[in-house]
Amino acid sequence: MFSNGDEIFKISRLTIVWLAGIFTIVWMVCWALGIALPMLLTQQLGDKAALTNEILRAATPVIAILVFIPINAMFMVLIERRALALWTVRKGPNRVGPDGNFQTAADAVKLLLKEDITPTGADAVMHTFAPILFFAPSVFGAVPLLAAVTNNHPLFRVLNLPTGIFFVLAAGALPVVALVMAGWASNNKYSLVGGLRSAAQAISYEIPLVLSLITVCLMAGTLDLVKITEQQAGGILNWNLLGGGALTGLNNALAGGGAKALATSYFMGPISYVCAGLLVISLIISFWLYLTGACAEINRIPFDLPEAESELVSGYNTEYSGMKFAIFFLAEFTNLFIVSSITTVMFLGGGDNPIPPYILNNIPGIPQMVAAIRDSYFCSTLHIINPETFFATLWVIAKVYGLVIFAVLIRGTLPRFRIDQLMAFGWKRLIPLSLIVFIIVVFAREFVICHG
Amino acid sequence: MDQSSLQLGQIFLFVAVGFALPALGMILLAWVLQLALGYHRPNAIKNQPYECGMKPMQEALVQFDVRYYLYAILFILFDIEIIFIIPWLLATDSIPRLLIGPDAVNQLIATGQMAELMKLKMIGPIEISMFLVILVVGLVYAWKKGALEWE
Repeated sequence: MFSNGDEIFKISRLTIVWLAGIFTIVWMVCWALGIALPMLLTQQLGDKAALTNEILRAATPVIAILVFIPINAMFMVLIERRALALWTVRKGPNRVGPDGNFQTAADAVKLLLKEDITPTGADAVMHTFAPILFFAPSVFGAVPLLAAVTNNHPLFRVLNLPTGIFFVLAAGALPVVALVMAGWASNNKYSLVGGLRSAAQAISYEIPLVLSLITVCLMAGTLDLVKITEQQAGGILNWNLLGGGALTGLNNALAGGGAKALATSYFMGPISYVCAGLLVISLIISFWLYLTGACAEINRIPFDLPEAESELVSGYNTEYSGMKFAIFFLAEFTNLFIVSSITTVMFLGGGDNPIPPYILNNIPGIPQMVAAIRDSYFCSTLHIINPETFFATLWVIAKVYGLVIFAVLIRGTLPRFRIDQLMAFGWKRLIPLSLIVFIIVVFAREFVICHG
Repeated sequence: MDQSSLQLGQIFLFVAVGFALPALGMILLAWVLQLALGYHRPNAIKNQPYECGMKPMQEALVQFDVRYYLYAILFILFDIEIIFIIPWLLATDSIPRLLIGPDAVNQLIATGQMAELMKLKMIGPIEISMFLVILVVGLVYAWKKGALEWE
């Protein structure tokens, strides 16, 4: 299948090394600030340290994000280039460091040291402010997600907003303003057209995207991302991808509830079974709609019309160089990461293990392994590993980066749309489809007891 | 300090960091570096807007197509729709309990009068589908009028 089998091995090695590096660094920072330092302060000062500890714990997620975003973007750029090289049978970056592992770190230094050019006639203030405004939502928009993907770690104070997904979507609508601003302020026709195209595209694809997420919220009955994650616990049949909880009754029956559990969840008999089937199909379509809309929202191929290099040079960032360009780049990859996290939390069960607990606990060795981790010195005294959240976090990482690599695969295989095809596809296909799916879910969910 | 003010402080911190990281940590740093190391040397040719190697012909801020406004107006229609759907989806599950009271609903479930219960449960979906039908009529009208054509 692949003509360069050696490359697959190299990419796997690169992914494992980088992910282990990233998350060790981020976790060490979190642990030092949020756990070790408060423990030390409590030992030394007693009750007087309570306020300081609270503030430290509240600041920890912010610091962790600051550390995480740049190194994560470096990794994602590297894996994207290597994976694209694999799928187009080329050589990826392989000069800087072993296997090209430090290519993007070198790129970051280069971008930092490049001259910053403001073109003649450009609006200098807007030109500078546009990348900042583009980047900011990817930091604070991820706040409700953070609580969901860290699985409510007991030792941190991660903010949980009850409005959850609504806040994420509101923040996700902001970068469009920044793109139009960048296009308008650059004093360049290509930039202007790129900015306007990005606005038209983002608002068109926002409707199917939001409707598909609303469908999931309707199944869950809440907007709170932490609650949505908790509802999906207990194996792949509970995930929102498969019917948003329509198969919970089946799951309960398999777990030992038998026919009684089936009768409770599917209380109307055959009508309920048909509705559960409809829900499964609808939610899978919703998942696909979300992926499509998200690809368009973050301007990735096949929807990267705003920066189509064959027609618009580079679109809205034609006139950007050096660090300002780097910020656009950084924010784009952070957005890809955030979109993958939203998909993970909303559809793929967050940190949930796809194997249901009634199978998992019967596999010999697994409960003993968890117990051994819980009793170890690292875990019980130093709190370096929390057994409640450790495996969940590994699942989140695997799912999120799996979706990132899926997005790279899409980029490697699909051609770009034309602008009229893009708008027609958005308005005449995706929006009617998302409305139909929504209506089906609205009625079908009344016949099934979901997440019960 | 109570929990809510800590949480408020945390979200403020997130917003502040979101703006400060690119502004201070990156753009300002790059500016200071290029001024300190002396490689910031702009000139007229270098600062020219890029137009595929040609000299820029006219004003860059050209008049752009009216179609963009059309899509923006249609988008507002659907965005408002979504904003109205959100309170509905949070309230719809409690409609039977609001209408006849929680005790009566529990009694219906206990005695197995599912048909009676379904009548109550269907109120929410029927309401929202009436709302959506009005919107779909709007979309169909725009479609027929050719507002969705990008020629």
